[in-house]
Amino acid sequence: MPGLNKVYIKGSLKDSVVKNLRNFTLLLVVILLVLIIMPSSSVVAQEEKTVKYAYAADINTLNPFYWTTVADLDLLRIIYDTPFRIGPDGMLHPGLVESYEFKNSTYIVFRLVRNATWHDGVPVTADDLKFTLEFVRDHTLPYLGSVGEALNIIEKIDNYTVGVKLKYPFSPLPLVMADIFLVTPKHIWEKITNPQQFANPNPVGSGPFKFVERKTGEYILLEKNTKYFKGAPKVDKLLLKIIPSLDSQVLALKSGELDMIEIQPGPIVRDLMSTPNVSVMTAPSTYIYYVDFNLRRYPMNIRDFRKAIAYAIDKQQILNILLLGMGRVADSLIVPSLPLWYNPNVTKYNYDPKKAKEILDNLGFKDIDNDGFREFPNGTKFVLNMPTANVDIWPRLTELVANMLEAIGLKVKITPVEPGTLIDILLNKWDFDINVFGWRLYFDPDAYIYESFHSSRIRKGGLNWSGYSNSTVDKLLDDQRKAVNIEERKQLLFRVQELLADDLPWIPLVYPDMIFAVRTDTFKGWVAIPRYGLRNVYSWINLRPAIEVITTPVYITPSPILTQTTTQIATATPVSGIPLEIMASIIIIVIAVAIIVLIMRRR
Amino acid sequence: MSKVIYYILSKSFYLLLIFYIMLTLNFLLPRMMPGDPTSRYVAEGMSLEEREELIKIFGLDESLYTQYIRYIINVFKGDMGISFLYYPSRVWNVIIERLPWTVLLLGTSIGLSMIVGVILGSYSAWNYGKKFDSIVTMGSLVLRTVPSFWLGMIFLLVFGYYLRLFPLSGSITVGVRMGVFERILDIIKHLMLPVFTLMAYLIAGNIYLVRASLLDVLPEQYIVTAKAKGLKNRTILYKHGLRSGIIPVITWFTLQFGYIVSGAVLIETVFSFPGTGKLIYDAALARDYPLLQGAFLILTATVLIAMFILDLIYAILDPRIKKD
Amino acid sequence: MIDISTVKHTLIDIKKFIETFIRRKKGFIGFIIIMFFILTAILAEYIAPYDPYKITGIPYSPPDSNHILGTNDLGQDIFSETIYGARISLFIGFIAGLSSTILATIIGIIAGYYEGIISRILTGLMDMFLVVPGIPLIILLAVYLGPGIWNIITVITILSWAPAARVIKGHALSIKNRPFIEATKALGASNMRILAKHILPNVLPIIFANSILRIVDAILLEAAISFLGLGDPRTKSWGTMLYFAQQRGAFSTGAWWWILPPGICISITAIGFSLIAFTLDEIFNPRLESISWR
Repeated sequence: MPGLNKVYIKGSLKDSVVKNLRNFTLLLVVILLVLIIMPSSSVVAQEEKTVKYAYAADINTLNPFYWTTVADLDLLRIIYDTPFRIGPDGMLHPGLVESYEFKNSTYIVFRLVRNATWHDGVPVTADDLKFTLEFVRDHTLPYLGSVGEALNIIEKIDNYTVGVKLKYPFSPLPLVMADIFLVTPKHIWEKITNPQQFANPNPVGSGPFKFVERKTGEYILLEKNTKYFKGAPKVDKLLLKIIPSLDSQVLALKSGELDMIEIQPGPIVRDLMSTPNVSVMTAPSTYIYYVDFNLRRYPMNIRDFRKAIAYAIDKQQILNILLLGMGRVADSLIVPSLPLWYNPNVTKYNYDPKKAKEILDNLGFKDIDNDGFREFPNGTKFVLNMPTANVDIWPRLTELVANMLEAIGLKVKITPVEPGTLIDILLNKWDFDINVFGWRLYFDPDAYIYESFHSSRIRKGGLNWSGYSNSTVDKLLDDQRKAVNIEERKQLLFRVQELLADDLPWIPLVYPDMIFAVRTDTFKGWVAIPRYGLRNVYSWINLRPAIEVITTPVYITPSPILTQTTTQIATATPVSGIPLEIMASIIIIVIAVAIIVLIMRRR
Repeated sequence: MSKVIYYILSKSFYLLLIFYIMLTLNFLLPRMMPGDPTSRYVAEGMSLEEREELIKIFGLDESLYTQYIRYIINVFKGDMGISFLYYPSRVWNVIIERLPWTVLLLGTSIGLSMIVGVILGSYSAWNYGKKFDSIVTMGSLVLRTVPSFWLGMIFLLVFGYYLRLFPLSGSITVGVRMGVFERILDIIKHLMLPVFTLMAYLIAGNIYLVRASLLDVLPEQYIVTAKAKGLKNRTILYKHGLRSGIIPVITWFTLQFGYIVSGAVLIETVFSFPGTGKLIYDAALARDYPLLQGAFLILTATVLIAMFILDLIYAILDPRIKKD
Repeated sequence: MIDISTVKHTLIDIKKFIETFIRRKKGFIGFIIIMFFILTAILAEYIAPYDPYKITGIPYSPPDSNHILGTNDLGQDIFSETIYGARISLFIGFIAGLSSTILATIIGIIAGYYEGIISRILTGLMDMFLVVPGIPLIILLAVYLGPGIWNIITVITILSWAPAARVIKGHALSIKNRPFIEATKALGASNMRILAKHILPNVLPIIFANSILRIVDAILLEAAISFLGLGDPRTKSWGTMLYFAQQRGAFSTGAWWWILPPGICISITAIGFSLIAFTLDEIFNPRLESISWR
């Protein structure tokens, strides 16, 4: 066959060429492997005075009005200022607003500081505060909707004074403004035509650090605002790295690539505690984990039944096992990290399984058929339907609680579903008996406690999914919203907490702490406040290079002695997208060549 | 000639029909999931009124019919809309940020495992029954049955955590200035563990296929003739054997491309690799309808194009194949 | 028409079959492996030192005299978890594998035997399921159906029937085209009869070997689904153990005692079934034992 002969001759020539190619490829691969395994010798000298910490997910937007996630808010709170602040003591402190006064229960006067400027140099004036308030009033913003509803007329009294007329008394206003209300520059935002979809790529705020640049999915770089009204920060830059894997974050902290990370309770805490030059700090969170009931169903609607369950739960064990002791056993439904409102003197239910069993016996729930579980008083099988989210700590938390309930003879059916479905079950379908959930309170407890326990909030999609209705509590909740006098409001909220602890629509379980790990050899001066932990304006101003030991954290206006140098420090240049595509094409070309080689060999 | 055109046209029509059905399913399925895109904000304390406003912003307050019409029109305009999860980023931007990584990961894995698989499978078939064959067959069996994500975890534990040879996650080292060459090495370093993990499974499949189809082909007459003619083993193997035996492998290879967009979600989870697989997973959990629709669109299109190319290849390679 | 002699013949056939099977080394090993795990699953209560749901130790502790494989993040014994895990994983594997095979057989045979619209629709359905990538389908299905063993089984069945159906269809088609089928039809036999008496028995060997592979698929799919968190975290399958290992930081502590056992069990079980499947394939579809001209 002539064709075969031709192939044979051609084959031998091709063979030798191909052989050389193969050897060459092999050599290339070996060289590449060696280069890769070699530790990178050319690590860029890290910026002096750049504080590096990590986010687990990238931010979505820098829009101070239309942010939706916690990551967005955290970053925005660096670039923008809030009118007030909550200090490490949990108390209200001045921010951009240096003083405020309720002239009557529906009229407040705010006085701004006079030396604040926007990052573009324009001074911060009453126009900006007025603009921001009006924007909040005229749009239903995510999270600020209830504030917007209460605002009526905003008037500029003078260049640094604003008068706010409310539609009705709204006591949460100052604390909400210390939390999520960001003052925005009028001269920029009045020109924006579609503020909703505007991603605000070059944000101009008045905060201690200004935005420099951002590489999506990689990092965000900020530099100090030397004209910050409370004094310039002592560090030059903030670099937020996006590192989704918590393990990588820990490794980066240990190797010095990060200066601060937030961690979850687990064996990593012990590990970091024993790492040199690393210190573990806990900060009061405003988290609370609790058990909630569907009060529409029997027997959850019987107070004694709920009390029995409260006695059956060993909160200390939950704290020890799941949180490694980092937190506190919970008593009230408002968290102790908000000292303005927390009432420690509520009825407590200690771990007492014997008492729990007694109560259940008295209620008629006995184990008649000796299967180990109690039946309804009328003898039918009794199973508690307990849906839970199947992510994070929830399956484990639910399992622990279910075990404790089964220990007193209550059969529990846990239905783990993914979070979206759980919300549907709880808020829309009301198809559950008992559930474990958690909240992260704002500085002002109103949004949480009003929405969860006021009877008007029992509606499909509403947050009172338990169906709790108590007219005394309703009145107290309405009154505390109107009580602009802090002492008066405090008493009202104290009473609410007492009643809730007696009624037990929810059983508070634990108050988990936030846990951070910081390097002690790079920067000092981290300050912790409730809800935001170490990431707050006090830290940003107080952080300084760790040249000396500081005994007490300073959170009041830092001394104006400036220690920063004036040497030029190169900016971290963004990696352009091009090498990435080149890389991809190179590899694909290599593969394609290899395939072609292979095909050629078959000829 | 017209027969070929008819074939291509009928296949195209068939594929377009499937495409339209998938589009509609694409629209309906996410909306049938319980909950809505604002469910994830409940735990952050968003009140009902605020969530309703957000629903309006997302454009979900209109009737299903209106939304469907708008969706179909936008598909033909090429407008994928704005993501809910990453609001206000556009869906296209969100996907295009991650797609190159997934393509890189899967392209490299599929390509390399093709080469290695074909070589190993060929030699294995050639040495049927001998020690080489047994070792390769057993080895590929093990590789195929080890759960890929678990293998990834083991690699990570051994090479990343204990030996510190490779990074623990991500596709690049962030926030550090690097030159182009260094950056390329950095990327390769981050790629290696995920690629090896993926390759383990793919190589096994390739070896099995190549070996099986070669075993069918090799004993045939024309091979015996070639051997009698005194051709080198390698030539027989590759030129004659593989030529027919390659068809199932090409089928497998082309079908793999359909998996590119979503297939690596397990690996991406283990290695926190910023690809589109994990994106689809996150979008589903967050009920991000536009993002889900956009990703599925690309996915479906990729798969259908792959199928189409496959049919074309069949038509070209083997005109004997019946077209019915 | 079942009588004593038919039963006797069948029993002898089965005995001969088992003998042939055991004689092959691969099949034997596979058989032993599977028997080992099945026994473990059945006798779990007796073998496991602890109730895997009870907290019996300090969380995250490495193996010691009390806990051979250490404890997980809650303090439950991992060795016990692994033993009970066999029960769940095998159960899901068997049932899902079985239902997948049944579905594939029904659709495959009908698609292969009948021509025209029915065949085209079914083949189209097959193609669609072949082509739709698994992971998004898993996610959507898992979200709709929710967790729970039966839902997982349903998801696995829906995902894995298509490739097998294709193979079965091909075989059914080739059998259908054989002359003796034409003859039988000409003699007036009904379709049902042909299907039952001729097609099905001839396809059975293929199905048999294939069904074992479906079990392998099911076990691996269950692991993947659970690992993504879409399974049922309450049931302690091997996949769920790995899910918690990943979620609860087994990694950052280097808790190899938590990561290794479930994965090894999954692998070995899958290998066992695969070996059985290969041996069955060899028995029913013998190839040339050697390439003679070499």
